[in-house]
Amino acid sequence: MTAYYLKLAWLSVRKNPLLTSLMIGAIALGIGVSMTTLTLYHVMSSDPLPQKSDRVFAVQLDTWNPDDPYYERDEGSAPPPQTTFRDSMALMESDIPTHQAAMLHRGFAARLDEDGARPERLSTRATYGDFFPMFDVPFLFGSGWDRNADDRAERVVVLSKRINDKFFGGEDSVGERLMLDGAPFTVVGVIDEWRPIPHFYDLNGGDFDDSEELFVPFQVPISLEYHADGSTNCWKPERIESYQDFLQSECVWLQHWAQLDSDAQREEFQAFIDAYALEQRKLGRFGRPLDNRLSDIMTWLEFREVVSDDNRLLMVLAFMFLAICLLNTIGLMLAKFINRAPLVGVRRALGASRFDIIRQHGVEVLIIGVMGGLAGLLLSWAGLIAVRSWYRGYEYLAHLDPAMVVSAIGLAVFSAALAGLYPTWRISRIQPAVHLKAQ
Amino acid sequence: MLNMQDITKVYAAGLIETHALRSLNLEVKSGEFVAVTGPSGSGKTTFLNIAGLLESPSGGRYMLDGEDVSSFGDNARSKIRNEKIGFIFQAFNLIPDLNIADNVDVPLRYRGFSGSERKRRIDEALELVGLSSRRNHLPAQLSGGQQQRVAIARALAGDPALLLADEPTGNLDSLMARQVMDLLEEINARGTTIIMVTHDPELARRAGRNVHLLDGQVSDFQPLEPPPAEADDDDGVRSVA
Amino acid sequence: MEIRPILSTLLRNKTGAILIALQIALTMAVVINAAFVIADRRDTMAKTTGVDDGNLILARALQTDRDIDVRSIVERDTSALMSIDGVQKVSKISTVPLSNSGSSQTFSTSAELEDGSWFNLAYYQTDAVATETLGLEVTRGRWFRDDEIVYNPGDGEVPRVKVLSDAVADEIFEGEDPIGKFIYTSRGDAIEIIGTISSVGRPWYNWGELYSTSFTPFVEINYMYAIRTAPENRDRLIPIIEETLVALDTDRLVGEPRTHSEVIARTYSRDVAMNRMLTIVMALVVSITALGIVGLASFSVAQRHRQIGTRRAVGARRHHILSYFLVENWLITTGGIVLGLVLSFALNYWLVTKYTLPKLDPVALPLVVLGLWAVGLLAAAGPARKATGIDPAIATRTV
Repeated sequence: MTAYYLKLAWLSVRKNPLLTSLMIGAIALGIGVSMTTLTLYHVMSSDPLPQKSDRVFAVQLDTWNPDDPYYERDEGSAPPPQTTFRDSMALMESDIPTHQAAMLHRGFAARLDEDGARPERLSTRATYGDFFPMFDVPFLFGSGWDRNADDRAERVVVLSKRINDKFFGGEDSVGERLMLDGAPFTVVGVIDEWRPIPHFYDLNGGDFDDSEELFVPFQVPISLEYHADGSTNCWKPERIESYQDFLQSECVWLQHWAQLDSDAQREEFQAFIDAYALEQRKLGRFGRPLDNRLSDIMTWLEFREVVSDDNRLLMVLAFMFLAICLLNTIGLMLAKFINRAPLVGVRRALGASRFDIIRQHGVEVLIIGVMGGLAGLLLSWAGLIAVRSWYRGYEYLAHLDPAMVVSAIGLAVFSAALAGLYPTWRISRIQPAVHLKAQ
Repeated sequence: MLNMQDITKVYAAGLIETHALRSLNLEVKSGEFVAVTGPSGSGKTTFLNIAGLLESPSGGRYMLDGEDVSSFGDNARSKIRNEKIGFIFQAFNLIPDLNIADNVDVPLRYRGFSGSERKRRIDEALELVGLSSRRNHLPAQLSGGQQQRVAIARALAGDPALLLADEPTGNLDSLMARQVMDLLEEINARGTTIIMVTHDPELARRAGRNVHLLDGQVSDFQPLEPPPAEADDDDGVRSVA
Repeated sequence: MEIRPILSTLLRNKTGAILIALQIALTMAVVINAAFVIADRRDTMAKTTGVDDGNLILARALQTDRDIDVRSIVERDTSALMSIDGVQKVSKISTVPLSNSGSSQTFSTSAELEDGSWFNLAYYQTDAVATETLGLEVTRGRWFRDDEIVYNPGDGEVPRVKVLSDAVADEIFEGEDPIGKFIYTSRGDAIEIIGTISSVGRPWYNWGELYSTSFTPFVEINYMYAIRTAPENRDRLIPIIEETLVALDTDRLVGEPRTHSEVIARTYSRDVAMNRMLTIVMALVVSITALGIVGLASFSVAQRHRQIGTRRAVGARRHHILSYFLVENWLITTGGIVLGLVLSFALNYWLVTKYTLPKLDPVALPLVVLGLWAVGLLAAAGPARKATGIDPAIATRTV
């Protein structure tokens, strides 16, 4: 019987191509617009480290100005998003976390010594060796470095796949030499494609930044007296004449992450931090009410408002648009079905039950839904191309993944079914006798 | 075959009630050919709708083929319509997008027959009305008389016990009308009970019995003279007196 | 045309009318709120930077070694850049308006810091010719002299003079002449105000008072070069500037020069994209609703073929039929608009409380209402005109 209804639906679609394409078009537009914004939202709110995002924590210490909050929200109680150098170094002494890393971002001028090519400025993360196991960074060749290298500020470097391809032709470059800001560094590892979205561990450069091209031990830029490229925020009027002054200042400029595998471990580390803060109070620091935070990745991303209000507003408007498209489709379907009442009357007279009529029209509704969904998918695809070209930094972001394709078609069929519900019900309730007399 | 006792039908529109049928009593025996006549507004169409289970009576008892169908629900009525009743309408009511064979196929689909069974019945029915060669035509490509014959084939394909015809020749010229009537008589002769609603006394006379409706009631039984035997044979269909 | 009979017909066939009215109401809510956001962003983007951003090219040459004579390198680079045909003026500057990176500092109006009022000033650090490069007008006092410029690393001193933007100078000194007055850093250092200039915008987008900016005579080795060109030369000069800076020292890192306009466009790119998306959604919403009206109006005409024929047969003129359908549609549209008003404000209220969106300005409302009326009438006009073509004879046909 389904084949029969499919045939009838096809005949009906062919009979009224304009009306049918209007319905399909309305559903497709609704789906296209809402799926485009939904995909953006989906990607922005995605978990960059799904396998362990609840075990990896951003460390926030509340060293900020007691008289003037960093953030207005949370009644001004929220601690700053970054840490000071002296506090990060104190926390790094703790062996409670499974892994722990302070980090900063900075550009280095890189080139191979041999060729006379101009140096190239490469985005570099200076961090601890724990960074790689903590964030499950995949390695192509070699590995990261150990605590000894961290402590001695060894001049070692881990390359991204792109840079290894560029400088070493994709070969295993472990042990090779690369010049960074004029000094020789030894390659110890090459990582595979790795691009957490969002760029959760450092949101300064943009929420959806590329991951870095080079990784060096944290103490390397410190020993070179470098500042970070990210943001440095200072609140305290203090005399900062030398780099040492800066390192001891209340300026926050580092990101600090820790992996804590159990609740006990987490509580222990929280207690350690709070005890440290109370200790520091004796030196006149940590003047605010105790609010040092360990936020797991998803909590952190929410705190940093990675999904912007713009995206939420677009979602709301897009789904209102979908509602309008559905109302439209309901109207058109109703018109189409009611127009056909005399023929339904004949079918009823010839023995079709209400359920038969519901099935016949239900199949037609679903066909329109599927076609609308497919067309909507094409529109979302086009929409995402447009979004990628309009928004800087969204290049890797706005893509349809299989889950979204399935949801698009699902949403379309669901919408069409919703739109078809009332017209189908109406047409199944017609009085056959009324329509048999007139032509 | 059909037995109606005290059938009433009241249409309510706002505060006004219209009595379309008032205590109608009628019995039709298996194999009869009954013509229901009456002026406009006498309740002919309402009678036919109730007889064909398209509408439920407001009161009274309706026995069809030995079953009391007056209180059947929508589904059961659809099933009876599908299996026991064939309809022929004044306006033919063919489905314009379906070809002839597919039109005849419609009630068979709802009957749930297998493909081969449906094919056999379609062939048989089209054979009977002499339109086998037109099976792939669309209704619009046929003349009015041919369209009505397709409608008759559609009505007969399911082997109904009762054929209900509503002014079956109303939209046809006299030659075509006669051919359709000849066909109905032949079908009746093969044992199918026919009830035909018409306002044309000429046609009514060809039925075995006439029932006259007036103000929603059977007014009078009119004994009929036998219809004139005719030897009109251009469709290969011979009427049987 | 009497409205009562039309209304009572409408009320008896309400499904279609309700569907259209709901569509119009939702459309109105979407359009008003989207338009409002668009206008809000436009206002933000229309604010001027106060500098001649259309004619500026920004270039960076980064030196990694530190034992260098900053002044001589800057002078060498500047004269090389100035010798390029088409370059009008070159300055070294810490940052530019709307680049989204820069620094600010808090000052007090009094040497007894607690007694004064505090204010935050973004600062641009630059050289003695920056007024010409950036296209600034000195409104009071004077600009920096060449010998006041501090070069870093090297000079080891901190500048003690500042030039303020007009707007912020008036605010700080409450209209008094700011020249020769002092402001004080949080460490108590006194800074003398030596001049004011036509107001310049902040480096950041949407953060802080727009024109609370200041200039300091200070040049660091890795500051960018701002290069002023004639408009017709601008784009052509970009590769030449890059080559020139590379040729002077192949060991340093020369970033690809960009125009200031491009930098600003990047800063605003999210707003531009948002406005584009909103505009598209608005256009689609209105067209879909219009198409829906066309569809349902055609249906309602088709359904009333015979009724219209009868009206014509009993003497209705074509314009009677036309106005019947237009008035009917107008009634539906108006119903939708009334509902839409409520919905628009409800949506806006929700957006204001949930997100950082300003309150709806009712000024645009009449415009949207007029627009929706027009869309409704235009959409209904086609089917209504078709209705006027119905043959009165249809009424007398039996089937």
